[in-house]
Amino acid sequence: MRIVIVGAGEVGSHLAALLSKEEQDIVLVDNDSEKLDPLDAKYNLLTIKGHPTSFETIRRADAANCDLFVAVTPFETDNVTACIIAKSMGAKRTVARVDNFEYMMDSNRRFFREHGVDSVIYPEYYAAKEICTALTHTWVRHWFEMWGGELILIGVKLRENAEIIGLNLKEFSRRGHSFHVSAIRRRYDTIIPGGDTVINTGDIVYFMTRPEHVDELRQICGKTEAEIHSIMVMGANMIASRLSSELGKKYKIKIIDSDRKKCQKLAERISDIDVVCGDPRDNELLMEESIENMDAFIALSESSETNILGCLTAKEFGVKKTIAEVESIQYIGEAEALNIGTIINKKLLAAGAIFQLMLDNDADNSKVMALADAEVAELEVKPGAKITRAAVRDLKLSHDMTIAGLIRNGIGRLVDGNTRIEPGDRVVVFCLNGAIHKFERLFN
Amino acid sequence: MKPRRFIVSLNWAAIFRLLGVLVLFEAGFMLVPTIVALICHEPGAARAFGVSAGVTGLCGFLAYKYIRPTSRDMGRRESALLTASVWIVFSLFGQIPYMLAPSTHLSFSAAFFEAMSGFTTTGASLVESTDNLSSAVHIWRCLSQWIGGLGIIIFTLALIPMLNSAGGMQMYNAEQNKIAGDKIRPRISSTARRLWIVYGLLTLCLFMLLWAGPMTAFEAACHAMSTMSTGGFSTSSAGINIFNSVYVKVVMTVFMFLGGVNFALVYRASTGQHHTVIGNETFITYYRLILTATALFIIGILLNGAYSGWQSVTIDPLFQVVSLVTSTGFMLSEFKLWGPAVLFIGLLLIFVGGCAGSTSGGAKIDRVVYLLKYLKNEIKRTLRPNSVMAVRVSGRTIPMDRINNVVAFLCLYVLIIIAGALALTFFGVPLQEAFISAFGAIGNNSLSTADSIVGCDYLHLNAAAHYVLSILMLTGRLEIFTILILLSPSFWRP
Repeated sequence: MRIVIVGAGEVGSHLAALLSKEEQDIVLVDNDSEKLDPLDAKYNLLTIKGHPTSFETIRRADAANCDLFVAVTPFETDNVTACIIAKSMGAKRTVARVDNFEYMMDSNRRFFREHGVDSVIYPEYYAAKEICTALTHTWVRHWFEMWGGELILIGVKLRENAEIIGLNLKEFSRRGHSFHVSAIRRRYDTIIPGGDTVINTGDIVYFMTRPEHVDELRQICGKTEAEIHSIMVMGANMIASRLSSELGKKYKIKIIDSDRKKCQKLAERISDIDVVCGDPRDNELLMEESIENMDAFIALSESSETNILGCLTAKEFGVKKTIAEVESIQYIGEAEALNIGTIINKKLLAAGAIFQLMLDNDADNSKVMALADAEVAELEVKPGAKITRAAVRDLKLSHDMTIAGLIRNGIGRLVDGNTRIEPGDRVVVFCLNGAIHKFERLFN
Repeated sequence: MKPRRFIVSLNWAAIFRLLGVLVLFEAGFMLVPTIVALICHEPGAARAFGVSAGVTGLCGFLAYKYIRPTSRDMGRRESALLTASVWIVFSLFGQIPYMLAPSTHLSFSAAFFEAMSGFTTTGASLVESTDNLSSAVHIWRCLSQWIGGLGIIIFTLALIPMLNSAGGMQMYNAEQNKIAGDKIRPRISSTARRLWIVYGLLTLCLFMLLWAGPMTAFEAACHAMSTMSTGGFSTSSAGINIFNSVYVKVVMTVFMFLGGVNFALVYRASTGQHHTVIGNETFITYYRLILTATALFIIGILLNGAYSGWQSVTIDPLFQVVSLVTSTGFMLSEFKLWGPAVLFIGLLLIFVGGCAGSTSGGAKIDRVVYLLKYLKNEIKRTLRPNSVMAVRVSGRTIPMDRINNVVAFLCLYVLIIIAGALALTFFGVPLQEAFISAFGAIGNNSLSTADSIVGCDYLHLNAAAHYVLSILMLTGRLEIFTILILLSPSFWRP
């Protein structure tokens, strides 16, 4: 697939690096050669220096022959303009990153489509959604619902009190639970486990299960659900504002930021929240704002380090659930080890959205979540696909992926070695980085 | 396979396994002279090449089969090391036939020199008389130049899907010129494949044209390979003088000229993007340089009273200029009659070399263009210290760090010539000879022909001098930095 990515910022360069590992033809466009040069030397892709909204640049990137045109510069208008130009030249599908919720709404989608922007992505909105999910399920690290909740993928960090520590997967499945252990994240690696893999303390284990077994899973993992009423948010940025408008009525939200202008703006825009201007790293201020009584602490400042440390401080004060935005991919592993509840990363959320478009041109037929070094995808099996030819155990799937569950006739079920996948099933696949391009051969 | 989290130690296993794969390709190439030897009824040469191909293939196979790296990750250090070592390993295996073949029987150091001279397209030779070589050896000499012309790594990138990754990308960067920096396709393997298609088709055209002329099919094949790669090996000790044909000179001039052009540019031109060629300042400088040098040659010839018919003021100087500037190194026998001024201009041409991203050697015209523009700015700045200026080439601004790199490169280039010449004098080479052969070796240009007034007769060099020149050739071919970083302690102890 030929993919043009405009904008070598955080999201753009992450996407380019990720997709070039997926054996796609990547052309990366940016106006700043200082950003492009290191990527050009390091990754298997083509870089073009030029202004993102210039016809000449887009022509040089050969947008006319690309399958996917992704505009992810920091400026929404540039992104939309670039998409319009690319579409007019013949790009098959265009995606623009926006930062305005209006543009995401279904009622306005037609306008964009008519003007040449086929889809929009809004990483800050995805982040807010992710935080909402994390607040409703406080005991999990990841919660990913498939097919309206028929199947759920749950990532849980296991501690000494979990019943299943020390078991290998064969013993675990002999106990007759209705869970599928899809993957284990151990320190810096994600592993697709085999029958002999032992579950250790500190692992983040990804279980696939049906909604009625969630409580059972929580018990064997030794977790309790915490009720959330009040939330403290550090950083008055886009995500915080998005979050407040989604949740302002449901929870008591207090937002702290040191920038008075930002605070003022946020307070004017959203009515149901409490905005405090001050340094969120100042413990006295936090105590003044009664951090001890908070149920959740969400750190969304620009610096990943501040967010991680902020969450640790909040834990000290007894806050039950902490959520940190960690934009540096390397720090995600460290942050996970430090017991910070949920980690939000805009780049990964955007990558998930792009993978979704890559797998399926209709976009509504598949769903992808990107993790730090793995992806989970839900997709439909086409008639005659390779995967339908035999039972799962006889398929000799490569070691970097596993089929966790499937949805047949609207009913979710788990997959084991004897399951035979049929055309029309929707399967949930857990795969390590760099393996998504293998889907094409398996499922189509 | 998992990415390695810590990359302090070099991934030796991955390097050796990949070397094994590459050596397997070399073994495959050795089958060509073996077949030629069988066809031409040369039992000695057939045995020599058969044994060489067997040994090479076996080593490659064993490395490929039994070395199991725990990680496939190749960092920048591994890539640089692999790229440098692949040229050495290719020469080490490629020299076996020269040691075994009855028509050469070179010593170890001489055979290594000969093989390195082939792969780096230098074209210097230690064979006493090229006329007595068997056809298999001729083919192998020219084939090795042809492989080395565009680059060993870039050849394998086109064929091994395993290298179509970030690691392959870095190897490409270590072998290719950073100045040209032209990827023509997003993925490195398809870039490499297209460059090889251009190269292969040009070679095929040249072969047809030469064959249509006075050459036999065998001579045409050898000369096509050594001309397109701007290498300069010939099937005769008299070089191309033996054909004494204007047709051959014209055809070769055209193809040597093409061999000195950036292949990405040739590809773009062939796909109809002519504006990229017309607007390319390097290309414009390249042909202007050739035209100017030819004019100066003609003046030199006339002043020196070497006029001997219309050819001596038209095609002869043009052929010689193109041959020198592209580092091919074919010498016309008349060259020595043209006088010292012409010789001096010739040396300058060797220094400058062809365009970056081509098969030619030298310091590369691109760098000279950058340097001249930069110097112009600096001179202006002395008068108006506050003016802000950018170095602009082909309508694009060149970032300052690249200019720094160019200046550093040119300084190193000169320093290495001096160091190389100094080393040669230690091994008993006379001063002038030492300088000129070091100069030629790093520019991948063979200045030595028995009947030329310049350069040295490589035949009486001792083993140490062979190695010095071999290293110089490799340093020049990989454009200095890739070799030089291997010599720095920080490479081994990061």
